[in-house]
Amino acid sequence: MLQIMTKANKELNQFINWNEMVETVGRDRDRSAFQALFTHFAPLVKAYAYKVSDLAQADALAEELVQETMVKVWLKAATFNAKKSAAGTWIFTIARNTRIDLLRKYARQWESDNEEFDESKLSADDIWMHQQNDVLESLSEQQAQENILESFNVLSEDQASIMRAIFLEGKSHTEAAASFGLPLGTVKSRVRLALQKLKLTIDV
Amino acid sequence: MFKHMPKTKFHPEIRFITDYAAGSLPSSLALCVSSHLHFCEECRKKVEQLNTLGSRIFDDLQPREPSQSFDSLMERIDAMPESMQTQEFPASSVKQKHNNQLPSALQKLTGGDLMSLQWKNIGKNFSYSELDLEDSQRETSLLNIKAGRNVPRHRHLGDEVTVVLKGSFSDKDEHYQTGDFIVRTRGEIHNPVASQDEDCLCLSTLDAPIQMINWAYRLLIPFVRGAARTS
Repeated sequence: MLQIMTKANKELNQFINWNEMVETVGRDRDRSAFQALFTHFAPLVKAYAYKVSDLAQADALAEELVQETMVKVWLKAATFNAKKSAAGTWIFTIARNTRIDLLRKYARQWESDNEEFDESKLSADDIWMHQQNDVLESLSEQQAQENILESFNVLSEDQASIMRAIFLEGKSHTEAAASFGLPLGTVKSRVRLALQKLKLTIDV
Repeated sequence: MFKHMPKTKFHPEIRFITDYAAGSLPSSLALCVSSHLHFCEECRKKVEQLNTLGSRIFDDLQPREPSQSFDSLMERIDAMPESMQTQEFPASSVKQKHNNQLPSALQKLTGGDLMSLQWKNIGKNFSYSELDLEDSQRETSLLNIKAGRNVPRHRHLGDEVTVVLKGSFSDKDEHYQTGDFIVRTRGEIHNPVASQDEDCLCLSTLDAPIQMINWAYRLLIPFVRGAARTS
């Protein structure tokens, strides 16, 4: 039953234009649009928190990550630009950067009681939010991104599970190799094949 | 907006770009990728595609209901001071500075003023300034090679990633220019020489020390950089 519901929700969600939702929040501070974003994305952000390997941290991390990420979505909505990235991608990158910062904060607290935040230190946004061109004005980039979204299902389970480990569990290639018990070379070639199947334009 | 940039020739391999987009790359290496992206439109496109892939995988997660409600989130937002609510401005209104500007992360880290950093001179050839990136596995520095001078021949005891930020240098029959991303692996011996016309500024991160080949230099500086990481 739950699965059917999820599937029905998924199909329904395809008709929601998330770009417009974020733009409405940015422009009008519209709470019902923001609630729609919250209803769809907050449970995904929470699930994303539980993918970190240290589950002792996961409970604390999960609630903080949901709150921090959604607050940022609200505050940054005015900076969202659909010519640069799609709303779903934009929210994923906010959750990713926030998770990096929270994990680093927990690591610092673990090492010392010094919780002071040093303003000169770099946050994940400093390193991970780089200047981006209006790539989505180009038809070829739109097609490349649509293709990635649509053809993820064609990956073999071997390939998909490595991509999930990399993108959700925050495992580097080296760490993914260790957890799958595979040589680094095998992980690299599986990732490369997966990216080729998704027609990610790579020249390596 | 990026039209006047020279096209970079040496890019990070896709492994680095993937780990960067996934957020798992240690901050020092991520800073190197991010600095390359500042100069390289092609790699920025790849990152955006990989971010899209990340969002696709993220969207497949089995959702978990948050414990706190939407209303409690809004209460928290409403309690924030007005100044926090309005401080954001559209990223597109931020003018991209001309191409010999430092990448923004490095501007923040250095306070935008390279002269105010603490530089250690190694002879007359080059100087370096260590950066604090909270990455216990690596030492990251800005490296300035004087015009026409070289970093004396040295051997790598680990891996080094270098991004050229300004100027250019030659090494091992290649010429590296602004934006290029270069990886040297354990055991390599080399001797980078800055071009004659200007100093060459690089960002460099090492996971193990380098060892000078020339004994005179070794006595002067037993291990250049990374001395604390020998264990």
